[in-house]
Order: sequence, then structure tokens, then C-alpha cells
Amino acid sequence: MTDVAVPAAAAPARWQDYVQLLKPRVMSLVVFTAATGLVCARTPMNPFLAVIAVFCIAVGAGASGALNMGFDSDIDGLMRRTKSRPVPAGRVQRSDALALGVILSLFSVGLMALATNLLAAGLLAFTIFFYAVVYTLWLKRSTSQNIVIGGLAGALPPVIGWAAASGTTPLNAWLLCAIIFFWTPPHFWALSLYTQEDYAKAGVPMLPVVKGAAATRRAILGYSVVIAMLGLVPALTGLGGLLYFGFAGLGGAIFIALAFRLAASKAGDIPAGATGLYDVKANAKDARNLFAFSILYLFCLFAALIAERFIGLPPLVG
Amino acid sequence: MSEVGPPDVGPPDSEFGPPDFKSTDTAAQAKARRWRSIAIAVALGVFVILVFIVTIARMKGHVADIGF
Repeated sequence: MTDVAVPAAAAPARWQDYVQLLKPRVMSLVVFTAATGLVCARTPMNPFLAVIAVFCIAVGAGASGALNMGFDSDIDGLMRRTKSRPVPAGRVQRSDALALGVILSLFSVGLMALATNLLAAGLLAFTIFFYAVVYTLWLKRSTSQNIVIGGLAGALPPVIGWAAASGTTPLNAWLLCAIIFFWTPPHFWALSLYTQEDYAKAGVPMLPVVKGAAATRRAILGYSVVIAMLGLVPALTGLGGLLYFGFAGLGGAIFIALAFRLAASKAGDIPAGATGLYDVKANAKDARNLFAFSILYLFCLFAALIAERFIGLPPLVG
Repeated sequence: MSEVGPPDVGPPDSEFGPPDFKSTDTAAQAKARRWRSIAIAVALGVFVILVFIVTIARMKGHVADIGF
């Protein structure tokens, strides 16, 4: 008789591992932007169904995260930032992560269709597909513009929220989408300036890896000017009021100032005499500052829109 | 006299048959699997309840829309 031992997992999966598969931090941002779209639609909605709609978007985001971690387990295991994730660490099987992603996708899209409308459900299904398949399997590994195009997946939640409330997607909904879309490149490229060694090791063609740190800093500056300008537009289209305009104006000015400082810095450059792959972090302060501020900026813009609805501040125009 | 009992048919497992798998599950793994099964059952139950409540909420809206 031959005894064949089944390889044991590194450690039994805990419930926290399954929560980690859903990328809760990304999920929280998605919930926030989707809720903003829902509130800005100004359409009376059953509060219970509104909560269910946001819940479906959150679960859909979690499904995308699980699919992403399943598909990316090979490169995640090579990067210091991601190697302790449940799949590369061996706590959750890759097939389990993918199964969880598929089941939650079906669950969220189905419930969304039942609770709201087919437009919102269709947009949610498209977003999950775009993130899990178009971005994760294709763009991420093939082009330095991966996060530019792939950013559409992260930008769509306010449109889904708007569609869930009103059954339509007017120009103002797509304006919120455009703000997140153009915010994504400076946000992620600032991060990649001090994590590029990880991406290089895993063969992911992030912009600093392919074009170099100087070209990335210039691209960040260009996108920062665009997002600062675009951030003001909702005040002119009947979406944002005085509070929003103030946040967008001040935040945009700081965004551009930080991007200028980053462009003039050496962030991402490998210092002369560096011996290790990770020495590149030495010049990362300006990149970290812009990365952190970009999160605050987006939060303030969307929080201002929500606050104006609840306070009753009228839009500047219309 | 031949021996009574089932004839020995075929080669031993070690050569052609399926190998004997020895499970290396620990008590912790078995416990984790049990909790996962319970969690799946609870999630399914919650899903069914959600579908029911959402259906009622939607029907209530439509019923309210009907004019007399």
C-alpha cells in the first residue's frame, strides 16, 4: 500500500481571511461614493431599498476583490505588500477565493435587480466584470496605463448609486464618475513611486517601472491639474453648492501644490550607491504626502455633496 | 482442500489501484470547516430573508401606486 499525504494548508482559514478577501478598505470607499451618487440623485426612495442598494454595491465590490485576489495570487506572492494576503499565504485556496467572488457577484447583481432596477444591476455587473477580468487579467499585466483605464471600475459606483435611486444616469452622475476616474492615476502613481520595486519584482508594468520615476512625477502633475479643475465643475452644473465649491477650490489648490513639490523632488529615483531594491523608498516623502492628501481630497468633495443635501444648502447654479 | 473465502482477484492497490489518502486534517482545520459551513448556511438564510423582504417592499410600492 502507498500512503499519499494530502498537503496541509499553512493554517486553517479564519473568518478574518474571508473578510480580507473582500478588501474592506476599498469596499468602504466604494460604499461612500455610491451613497453619494444615491443621495445626489434627489429621488425619493424607500430607505430600506436604498440601504439594500448600497449593500449590493458593497458586496459587488467585495466580490471583485475576491476575484482579484484569486486571479492575482501568483504575483501577490512575489510582492512584499501583498504576500501575506490569504491566498498567497496559503490560508485560503485560490479556487475558494474565485468561488466566493463568483457567488457574491451573482448574489449582489441579482439582489440589486430585485431591489432597484435593471440599469443599476447591469452597471454593477459591468463594474465587477471590468475590474476582475479587464483590469486584473488583462490591463494590469500588459500596459503601463493599467490603472488609468482600469480606474473606470472604481469610478462607476456613484453612477450605480444614482441609477439605483432614479433609474437614470444623467450627466451629473457621469461627472462624479469622471472625478474619480481622473483622481485615480495621481493617487496610485504616487503610491507606486514608493512601491515600484515590488511591482518590478512581480513584472507588473506600472508607470514608474516602465517609464521611470521622472516621467511618472510629470504625469502625476498633469493629472493633478486636470482633477483640480474638474473638481470645480459640479459647482457649475447644479450639483455642488458653496460648501462644495470651497472644498474643491482649496483642495484643488493644495493638490496642485503637492504635485508640483513632488515633480520637483527625487521621489522614486534610485539613490546613487543604493545597494538594495528597497532603497528607493528613501526619497518617498513627497509621494507619500500626495498619496495621503488625495484620499482626504476625494473624501471632502463627496462628503460636501452629501452634507449639502442633508443641510439643505442649494446648488450654486440652477 | 481449497481455502474458504473470497478469491484474491487483481493486483494489489499499490500497483494499479487508487492510493490510500491519509487525511492530515487537524482538529483546528475540522473546526474551521465546521464554522465555515455554519457561516454559509447563515449567509444563505440571510439572503433568502433579504429577497423576501425586498419583494414585499417592492410590492408595497406598486400596490400604493394603484389608483382606485
